[in-house]
Amino acid sequence: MWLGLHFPDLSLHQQVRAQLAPEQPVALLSGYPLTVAQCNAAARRQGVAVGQKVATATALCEGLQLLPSDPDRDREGLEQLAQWAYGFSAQISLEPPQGLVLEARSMLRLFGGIPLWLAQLQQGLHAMGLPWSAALGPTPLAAWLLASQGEEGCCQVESDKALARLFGCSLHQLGRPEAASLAQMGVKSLGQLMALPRAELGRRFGAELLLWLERLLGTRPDPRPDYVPPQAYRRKLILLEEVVHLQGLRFPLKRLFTELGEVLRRRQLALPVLQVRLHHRHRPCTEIALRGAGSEHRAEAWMALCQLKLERQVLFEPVTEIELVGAQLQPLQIRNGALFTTTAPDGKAEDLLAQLAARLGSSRVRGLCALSEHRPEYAVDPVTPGQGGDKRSEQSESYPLHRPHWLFREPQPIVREEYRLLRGPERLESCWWEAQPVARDYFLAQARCGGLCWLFRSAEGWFLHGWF
Amino acid sequence: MNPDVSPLLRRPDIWLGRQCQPESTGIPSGFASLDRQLAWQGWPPCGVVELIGDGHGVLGITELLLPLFKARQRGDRWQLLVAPPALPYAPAWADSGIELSRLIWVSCEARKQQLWTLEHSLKSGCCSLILAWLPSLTAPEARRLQLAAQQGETLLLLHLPESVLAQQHAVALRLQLGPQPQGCTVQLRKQRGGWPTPAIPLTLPHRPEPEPPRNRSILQGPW
Repeated sequence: MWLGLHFPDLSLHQQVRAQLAPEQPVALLSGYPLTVAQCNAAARRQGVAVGQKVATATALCEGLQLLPSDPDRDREGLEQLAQWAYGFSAQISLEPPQGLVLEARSMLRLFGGIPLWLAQLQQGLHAMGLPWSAALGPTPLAAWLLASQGEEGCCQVESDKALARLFGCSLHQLGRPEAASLAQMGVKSLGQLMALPRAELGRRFGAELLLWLERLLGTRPDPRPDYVPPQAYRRKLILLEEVVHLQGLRFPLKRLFTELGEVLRRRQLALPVLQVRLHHRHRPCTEIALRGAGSEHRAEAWMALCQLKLERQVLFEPVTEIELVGAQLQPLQIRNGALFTTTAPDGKAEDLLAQLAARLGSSRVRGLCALSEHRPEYAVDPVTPGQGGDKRSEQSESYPLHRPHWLFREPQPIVREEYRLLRGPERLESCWWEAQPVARDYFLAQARCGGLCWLFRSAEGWFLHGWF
Repeated sequence: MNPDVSPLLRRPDIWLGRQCQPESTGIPSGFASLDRQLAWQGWPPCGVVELIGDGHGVLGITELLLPLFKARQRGDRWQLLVAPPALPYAPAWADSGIELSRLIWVSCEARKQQLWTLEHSLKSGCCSLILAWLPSLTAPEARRLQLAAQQGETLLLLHLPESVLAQQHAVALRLQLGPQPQGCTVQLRKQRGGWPTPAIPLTLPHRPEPEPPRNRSILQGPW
């Protein structure tokens, strides 16, 4: 059993989706001279029809918004729909320019029967806000033809009556090139064509028509290339009006992230890095890289990170397009929330670090790692937060040295008399084989303010290196 | 006490200020004399604690806070060091028994960023303890931080310069730190559910032994 999905005027609606009021009349132009290729219901009500010239259409309808057609973008749009439909069926074939055929039978056990499967599908279709029609059929070709003939927004579910309904359709409606010559013979509907003897039909109109008929009836297999979801996520939203303020980007971005989250959840994938590209008219595009805590798939987490990044962003030119690019799709590893107190921080705690890093920069939020190193400057390794730990050898643990908790990166020159030496010296002489050898005598000292500090004397004089 | 007043104190409908105890107990500070002065019998479980002292001397009193760091080690939450004036020296923290994998060092210079980091981390409820340094703090900012800390049930230890002493902040606890040869002095300037106290001396480890007092009974020259 197959389900055909037809999206009338797909490229028009994908361009204007959720960006315009539904009462706004819109038409898509193509060809030379320019004619109306697609128009929405509001335009149709005012008399605009497919095939009209631009001058006629604009004269009929005041305030008609005209859009250019773009075949490449149409294909992209259809693939996005296929990506969405991938959640409902594993076997999808594209029917360019505006149709999909979904295999249904193998999915019924998962979804619990045809009615439930269709209900979920319809819910998704309504949420997308595109006009659609659907039909079930015994063969892919029959399902697709029925869907393209079907009424908008309804789904024909009687699979067994599908062929009978198709027989009533005219060949012209079904898009056969032989329709004109057959009509001259008095053969107008599919039913009449089926009644004709096949061998003679084949001799007259070629094997192609016979093959089409057999595939329609299911007597001959109809192999189609399956849709394969892409290895990287890429989604572009063209803004109908240029956005001047960053606040204006919030809603389109939210929609993009919701879509991304849905796709990732369906395919059980996650992204470590997501690129948000803001395209401008003249300047090179503004790139924002979002890094989640580990691999991330949730839309709200991306939105929170993006909010933090956008707050610090300056927009030098209006934004015309937004593009999301996620190149490194990885298998999703679900993080469990903790029921009891555990030893590892849960996802929420990881999110905090990702948000801090997004706002402050990842070099400013660091974990700490202790290394086996005599020179104090090199004994601390700032690492990725959460990865810190004690990496010293066991020998150093058995002889704990008294070391300060705070260390200055650059030792500060001091006046020796202001400090009272308490313990020392502890000689540290190392790295004579390197360019900057270290030869210091360290003392534990007390400053006038009462705090304990760590001083050293070297050839250059007395220095303050840390505080306890 | 005046005999006319003392029967009044036994009346059940008259409350004394001292009896107003906080509902939850605090975190032992590791210093008995300090615990006795604090209203929670220790550090407050959440809220803002202002540690006021000038100069780099405040860095030298980390030993006062180490027991608190150890007591607040909870595996699933972070311990943040926000904008310290020097680099945290990891080996010493590890030797003191602090879990390094939970210790996060956040360095940011701009005051606005520091305040944002503090408020965001406090509100998230993912941190058990935050130790921070700020160059100044206004009363509305202190109030925001205190509310955020209560919301996230987090304790914020905030090092501030002495110039803020003139301002009144709605925080859980305000301590003034002073120098002392054997450690430091702590003066409770303000605490919720308790009274301010005079400065008390605290002995911190690794400090020099106090000089023995001179015995006055021995006669000394010059003759």
